[in-house]
Amino acid sequence: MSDKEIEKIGHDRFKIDLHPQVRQLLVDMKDVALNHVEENSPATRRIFPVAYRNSPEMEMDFSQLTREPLMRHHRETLSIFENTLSKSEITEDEALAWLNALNDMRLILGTALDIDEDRAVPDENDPNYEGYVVYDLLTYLQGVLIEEIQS
Amino acid sequence: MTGSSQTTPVIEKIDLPSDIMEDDRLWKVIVWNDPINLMTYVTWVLQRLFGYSREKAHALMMEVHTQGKAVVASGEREKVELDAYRLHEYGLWATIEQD
Repeated sequence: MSDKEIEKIGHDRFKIDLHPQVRQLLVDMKDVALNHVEENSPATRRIFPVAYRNSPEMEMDFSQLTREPLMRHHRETLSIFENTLSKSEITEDEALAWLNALNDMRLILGTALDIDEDRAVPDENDPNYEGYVVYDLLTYLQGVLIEEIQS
Repeated sequence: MTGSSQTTPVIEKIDLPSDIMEDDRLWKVIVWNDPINLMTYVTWVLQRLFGYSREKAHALMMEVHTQGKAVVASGEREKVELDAYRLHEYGLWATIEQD
């Protein structure tokens, strides 16, 4: 009997065992992430990166070509994640969407929190403490999912 | 039918503006280090998108992590733009440069 929250149990099958509070928190976080995307907030700069750092003209052309498809991709990924979050089993395609969605949420929340590599253990007195806890939960779940996808 | 006395003019040199001259320098896709993407995730994305072995993808990820960036693919401009777009779909910080 495994106590993993996400576990590959066969070809194209992943078992999901999330605490109801964790599920609700993920739904809330998905809503937060989607709002950032729709509002084009500064926290989304890592999911819409600049491709041509040295040429504004080329960047404008590239961005005009890719912005909408990339926006659609992020919306679809977050939508699949939300629609399958209550399931006890998901397919491999759905697991890949989860991986993308978890990463998008981490990139948005991590940017908003100004996460860096030398970050210390969150301090309960920090005004962003709850944000750090959610970020660490997303990081943990993404780590478990990558391991299971590769198993 | 009569023979022609016309001769074909020989064009010895045309000075084209530099921006429309053919530029065959290689385009490359660079992935930059960032504090959020997991090392295991970056390795997995490089394997999945480019078909790299786990060893090669891991080595490139380590180059990104320790050197701050790594060239992960190269080729013609259209190809590297598609590569960069796909990396962006996965949330990696990928840019395009020419040699």
